[in-house]
Amino acid sequence: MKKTLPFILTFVSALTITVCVFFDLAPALVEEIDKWFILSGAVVCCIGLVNLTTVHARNIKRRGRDWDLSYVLLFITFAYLVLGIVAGPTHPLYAWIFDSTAVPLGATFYSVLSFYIVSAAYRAFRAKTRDAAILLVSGIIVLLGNAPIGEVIYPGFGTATKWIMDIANTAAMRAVIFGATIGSFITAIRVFLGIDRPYTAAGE
Amino acid sequence: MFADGMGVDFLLIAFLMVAVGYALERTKKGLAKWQIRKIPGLDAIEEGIGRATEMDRPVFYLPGSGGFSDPQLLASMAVLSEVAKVTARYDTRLIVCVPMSSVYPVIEEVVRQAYVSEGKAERFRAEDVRWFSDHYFGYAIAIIGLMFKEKVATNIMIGTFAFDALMYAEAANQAGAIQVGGTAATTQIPFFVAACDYALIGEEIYAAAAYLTKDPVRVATIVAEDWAKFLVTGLVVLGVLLQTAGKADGLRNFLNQW
Repeated sequence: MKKTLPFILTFVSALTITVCVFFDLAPALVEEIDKWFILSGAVVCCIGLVNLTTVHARNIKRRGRDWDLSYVLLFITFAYLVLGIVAGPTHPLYAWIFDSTAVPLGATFYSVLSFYIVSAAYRAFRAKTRDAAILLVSGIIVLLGNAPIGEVIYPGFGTATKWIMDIANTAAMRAVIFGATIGSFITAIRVFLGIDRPYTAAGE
Repeated sequence: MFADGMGVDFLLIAFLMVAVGYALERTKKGLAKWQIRKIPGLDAIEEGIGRATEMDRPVFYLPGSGGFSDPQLLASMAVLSEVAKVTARYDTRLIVCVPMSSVYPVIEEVVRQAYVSEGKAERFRAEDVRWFSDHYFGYAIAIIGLMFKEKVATNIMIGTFAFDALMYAEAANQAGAIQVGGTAATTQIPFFVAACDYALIGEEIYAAAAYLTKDPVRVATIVAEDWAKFLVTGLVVLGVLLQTAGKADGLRNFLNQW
């Protein structure tokens, strides 16, 4: 039952939506199924919070690594949750806390990305193999083609960059997109037919 | 008969369904023995788990940030199931970090079922399937911290990723992990190619479950996928020839109206 019922639900829902969307039938039914999908997602949302609480409560109980930080995390999480429930998500204090902490911390973290790019580029652009050498040369051309100094050094960098991006890069990307799109169709069909049942450990 | 602009889509889906049915029929009757070409990135998964076992350090798995409407998540869950079975077999710790609380229970069930199917239900640790936050930055920071804290030996990332892909890959590299990254997101593929030891590009992630399990039924669906690619390639060639001859308007109008 645990395996069969999810499969029947998946098959019937997918078949209904597919037929209705392709043949423009019963839009209200499709909308209703969409609502159920969103609702079921909302129901399981709190399970993540249960996991977070369990892991950190256990860490505190065992006096595990950084257990004091687990206290801080749980306090902040539940204090903010209670504030949101009591005062509402539009309350100025609720918004202020988010805007003053999560937003700047997020922006700071995002800025770190540039250092990671440099670090990854250093590793990728070491011309150890023929492929890496091609990548290195292409990267340098595109870099100089986009930088103002590139046109000063050699006017052809702009044209070469445009060719690499518009012809070579676009052709490769479109080939990847074609393959990935058809692959996603096949994955959907496998789930639809019950060949893949990710919700029951891939059909076990 | 068809909804506006859905005719060609329907025909493509119908072709795929017929192709899958035909390939499955031939497989079941034993008329064909299909094979998937060698994919080094997928071979490296077991090698990476073996490395983690030898080093007595955990394997890290990131299923990407897609929800259930994202086929990449479905593909990733199938791979995760196989990865969990191997880690269960080797008694190696597996840490899975889930970015969305709505996905969490299903991912946990996938890992649990994999351990059960290997007869190692008692080795499954629910606390190793982690959720930190639905907020992107909070999730990313927690993952990077965890990679260093747990000293991961192998990092497997398959699914939808955004700007954070490079951060995870670089952090895992600094933690000394061997890495397999796979995504169909074209903006992130270059980052995985640059930063990971092995990269799965586009459709390879959808073939991963068939490749790892060697299940003839799944392999048959990959064969049907290849037939669809031949069809699409034929359409592309036809389009190029018609466009070159200046007679593509008819085909374009037909495809747009249908």
